[in-house]
Amino acid sequence: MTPRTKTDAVRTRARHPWIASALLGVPVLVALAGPWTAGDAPSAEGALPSQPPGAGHPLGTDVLGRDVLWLVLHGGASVLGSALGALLVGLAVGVPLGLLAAGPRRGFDESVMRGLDLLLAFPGLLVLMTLAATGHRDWYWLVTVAGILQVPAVARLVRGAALEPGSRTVVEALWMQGHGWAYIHLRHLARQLAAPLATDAGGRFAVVLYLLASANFLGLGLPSSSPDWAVLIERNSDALFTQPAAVLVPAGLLTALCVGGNLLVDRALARRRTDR
Amino acid sequence: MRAYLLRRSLLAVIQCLVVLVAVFAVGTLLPGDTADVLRGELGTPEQVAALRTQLGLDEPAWTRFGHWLGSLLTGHLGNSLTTGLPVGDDIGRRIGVTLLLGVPALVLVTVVAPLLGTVSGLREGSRTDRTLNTAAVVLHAVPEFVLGLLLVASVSLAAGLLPATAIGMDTAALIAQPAVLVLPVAVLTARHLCDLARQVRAGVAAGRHGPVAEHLRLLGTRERTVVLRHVLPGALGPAAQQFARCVEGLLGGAVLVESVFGFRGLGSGFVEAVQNRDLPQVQTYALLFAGTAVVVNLVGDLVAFRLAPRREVTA
Repeated sequence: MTPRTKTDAVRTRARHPWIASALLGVPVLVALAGPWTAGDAPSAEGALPSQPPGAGHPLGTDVLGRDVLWLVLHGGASVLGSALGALLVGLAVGVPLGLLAAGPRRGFDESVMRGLDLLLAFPGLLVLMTLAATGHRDWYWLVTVAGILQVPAVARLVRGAALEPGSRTVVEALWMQGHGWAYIHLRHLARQLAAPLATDAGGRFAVVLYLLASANFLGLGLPSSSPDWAVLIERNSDALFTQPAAVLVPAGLLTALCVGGNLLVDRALARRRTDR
Repeated sequence: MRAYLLRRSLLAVIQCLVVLVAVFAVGTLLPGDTADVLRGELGTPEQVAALRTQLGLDEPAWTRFGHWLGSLLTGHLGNSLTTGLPVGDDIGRRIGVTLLLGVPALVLVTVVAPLLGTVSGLREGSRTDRTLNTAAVVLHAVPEFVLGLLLVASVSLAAGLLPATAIGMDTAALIAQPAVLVLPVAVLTARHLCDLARQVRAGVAAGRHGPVAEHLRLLGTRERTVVLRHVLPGALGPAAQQFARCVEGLLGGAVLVESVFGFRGLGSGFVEAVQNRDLPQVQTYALLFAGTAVVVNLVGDLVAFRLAPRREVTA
C-alpha cells in the first residue's frame, strides 16, 4: 500500500482508544466481579414488583419483586459465558476443518467446503427458533448450535489463510526440510493464522452475542426466572414506563458490551490493513 | 458465466432439499409430539394415543414425509394443530404486516446505503467519514430488541412523539396510521444500513485509488464518470452479496422488531408457533424463511458475479 493511505487510515482511527476499552471493560467487569460482589442470596425477598429505585433497592425491583442491582450483577456471567462457549465451539470445529480442507487432498477440500455451503442456507435465529420448537431449550443446545452456525465462516477463513500463496511455498519448503506434520501445522501455520483468526474471533464474538441475546429475549433459551441481561430486558419491557431502570440498565450493559467489542475489532482491522 | 450460474443454481437446489429434509426431520425428532402438547397434563395415555391416530402421528416417518411433500406441492400447507385453521390463512393474514415493515426498510437500505457509502468513501479520512464510520460501527453492534426498547423509552415515553406499540392493529389500521411504522422501520433498517454502507465505503475507498481509476484519470476521463461508471460498480459487486445477507437478516430482525412493538406479522407468528409447538406452523414458517434466504442468496451471488466476474465467491 502507498504511504498516503497509511497515514490516512491512522488518522481515521487513532482517536480515543480508551472509549472503546471502557465500553467493553465495564460490562465485562460487572459480569466477572458481579456475582462475587453481590453475594449469593437474592436480597429482600417479597418486595413489591416494579418499584422505582429507592431505599434498600438502589435500582428498584423487577416484575417479580427481585432487586434489580442483584440481578444485573448476576446476569452478565451467562451472557459472556454462553457467547464465549459458542465461539469456542465454532473455532474448535472450524479451525481443524479449514486446515484439513487446505491440505493436499482436493476431493476432501471440495466436499468439506460444499457441505459447509449448505449450512449457510439456514439463518441463525431461524435455526434456534426451530430448535426451541422441538423442546431443545437447554443452554448447551443453544450454545452448541450457535457455535456450529459459525463453522462455515471460520473454516473458510482458515482455509483461505493457510492456502495463501506465500504460506504454501513456506509449507513446501518446511516439508522438504523434513519437518513433520505437527511442526508445520502447530508451529508454522498457527503463527500464520493467529492474527486473522483473532480479529475474526472478535467480530464473531459480537455475532454470537447478538444471536444468543436475541434468542434469550424471545424466550427460546434460558428460563424466564434467569438473571441473564437479555431475559431481564424481556421480562421488564412491559413495565418500561413505571420502572425504566430494570430495562435500561441491562440494556445499557449489553449495548456497551456489543459496541465496545465492535469498536476494538474495527480498530484492530484498520491497523492490520495498514500494517500490511 | 454459464458454468458458474449452473453450479450456483445446483447448490441452491441442494440447499432447498436439505432445508426440506431438515424441516421435516425437526418434526419427527421431537421428544414430545403435538398430541402431548395439546392434551397437556390432563390427558390420559389413551386419549393421547387416540389423538395421535387422529392426527396421523403414528405412521412411519418416511410415509409422513411423502404425504407432507405431496401436500406441499399441491399447495396444502396443513392445518394449525392449535387452532385447526389452515396454516396458509394465518400466513396470508400476517404477511401484509411484515411487508409493511420490510419493504420500506429494504427500500431505505437500498437507497441510503450506497449513498452514504459513496459519500464516506470519496472523503476517506475526513470528519464526515469518521463520524459516519463510528456511527455505523456503533449502530451495527446494537441488537434490534435493545435499540427498539431504547427508542421506545426515549422517543415515545420520554418525548411523547411517536406511538410505542401497534398491539391489535391489522394491515388496514397500520396503513391508516403510518406513524406507528416509523420506529419499527428505523430499528429494522439501522443494522443492515450500517453494514452495507461500510461495505460500499470500503469498496469505493479502495477502487478510487486503484490502477483502473488512475489510468482513466490519466486518459482525461472526468472524475464523475470514473466514480459513477467504474469505481461504484466495482464496489457494488461485493455489496450485492452483503445485500442478500441483509434481506435474510431483515427476516430475523422482523422477528425481534415485531415482538418488541407488538405487531402481528410473520415474525411474531413464528414465535407464537414455536411457543405452542404447533408443528405444521413451525414447519411452514421455517420453510418460508429458509426458502427466502436460499433464493435471495442465489440472486445476490449471481448479481455479484455479473458486476465483478473475477471475484468468484460462492455463497
